[in-house]
Amino acid sequence: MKRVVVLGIDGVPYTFLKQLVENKGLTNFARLAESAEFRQMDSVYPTVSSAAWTSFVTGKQPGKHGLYGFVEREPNGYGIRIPLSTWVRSRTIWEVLSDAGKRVFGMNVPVTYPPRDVNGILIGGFLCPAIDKVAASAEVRQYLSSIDYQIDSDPMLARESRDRMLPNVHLTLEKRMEAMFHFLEKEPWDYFHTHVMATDRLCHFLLGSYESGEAKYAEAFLDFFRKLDGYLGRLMDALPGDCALVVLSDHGFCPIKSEVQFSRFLVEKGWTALGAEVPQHPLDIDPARSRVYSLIPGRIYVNVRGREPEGIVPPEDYNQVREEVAADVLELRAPNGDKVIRRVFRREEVYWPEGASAPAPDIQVEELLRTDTAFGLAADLIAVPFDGYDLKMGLAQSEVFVKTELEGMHTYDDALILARGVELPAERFAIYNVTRHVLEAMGVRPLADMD
Amino acid sequence: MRPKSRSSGKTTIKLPTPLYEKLSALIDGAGYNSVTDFVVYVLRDLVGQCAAGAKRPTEHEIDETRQRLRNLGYL
Repeated sequence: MKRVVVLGIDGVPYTFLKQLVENKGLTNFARLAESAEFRQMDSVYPTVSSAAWTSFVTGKQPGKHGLYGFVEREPNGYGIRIPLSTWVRSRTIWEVLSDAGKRVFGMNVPVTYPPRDVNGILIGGFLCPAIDKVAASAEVRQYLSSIDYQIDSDPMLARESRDRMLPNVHLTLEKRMEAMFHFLEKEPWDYFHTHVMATDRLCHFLLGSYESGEAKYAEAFLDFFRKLDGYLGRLMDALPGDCALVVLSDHGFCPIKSEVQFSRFLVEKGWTALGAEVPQHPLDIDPARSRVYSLIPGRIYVNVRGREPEGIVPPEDYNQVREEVAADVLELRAPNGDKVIRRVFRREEVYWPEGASAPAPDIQVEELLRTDTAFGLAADLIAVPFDGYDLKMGLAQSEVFVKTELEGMHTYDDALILARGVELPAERFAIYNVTRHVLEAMGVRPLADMD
Repeated sequence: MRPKSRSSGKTTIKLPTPLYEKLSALIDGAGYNSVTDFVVYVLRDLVGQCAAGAKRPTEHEIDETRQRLRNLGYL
């Protein structure tokens, strides 16, 4: 049975990489593409790395694992909390393989902190606050400290200046790769998964400069990918011939035309009422006067009586409110007249688990409002923007449309995968469809409810 | 001491039937394949929380993570 190495390159767009592979700008990616399937794939809704990578490691769409963003609602109040690995309502690929007696390794994949119990080593992702908490093994933590391992690059530097950011993302990549080659050689493994987050950071803060050809930063942007290409070459040379290799991203990227303070829009339209003149936190709403509220990006929750702590919308009005707010949201226009929202999904359209008790169109409201399932944690509506309009929260903002240091935003349909030794689905597929094929390549049966 | 069936990598434990039935009703429609799946999930969560080294974040660290998410535009 095959061993498998996975390299996650967060947010790298298929169309961007394909162009560089064809131009021979990245020789090792081109070399891999010659012996691998190189395909474009879909991400998840909402298109954020926490939900997308959790979908990869569980092999399930978010409605089955229950992770929908980088912030989630508090269960009994109008507050937010940051997701932990223990909230994922499914076994992950590391656990499925551990159960099958395989030895596993995972480093820096989003939402793997605190590290869950596996047969091998898990090193937490960027939501882990400190090296002394990043892995269960003291020996692993000591090694990472000894090389000055970086859990993540510092986004504050990027906000200050791109010149300060660049050395920091390079350092983060260098240390990640140093650790990867160390564990690849020193540890026994059957499944070895390393994540590179810095590609996402680079695209967030430099993509616009690259696309517009701004000389200095366009070249710096490419330099980073050339360095990554060098590491990929070294990795390919280090692997035995019978070892499968999968390189994948979790979403694409496009340049930002404007950030959209989506909660502010809902306030202006009268759907959400502020809890204070100057909101003190991102969900500081007045529940008694708010029919809906929103979490980033574009997740809309109806303030349903009986479900929410201080809900005001009667359950029998749930679908009506969803229709009305969706209609308003679809009418949102940028100052230049552009429509901002491409589509508004009802939660059951994207998250209803196959094989559940009723097909999506026939679900009763009581069933939709259950809170004790992974599905029940989803937003009631998911607004999906047109490329260029990056949905934020912005309850405390005075303007709906703003521009900040951010230059790139996530896209749904331009993730990539390069797979050598793992068969991919014949038709168009999403990131959560890959996992069962990885398990099958390793001779391990996928979980029955994997997508 | 460990009960038999180690060859499959699994070990049998016994639950009182009323508890089993309550768990069965609790997870109805929740996406678990069986009570066993659910119990394993809950116990893994517990083990994860108790595992040496896998420490939870402090309030100060949570604030720092929020600031990181804000700078990334994720909050």
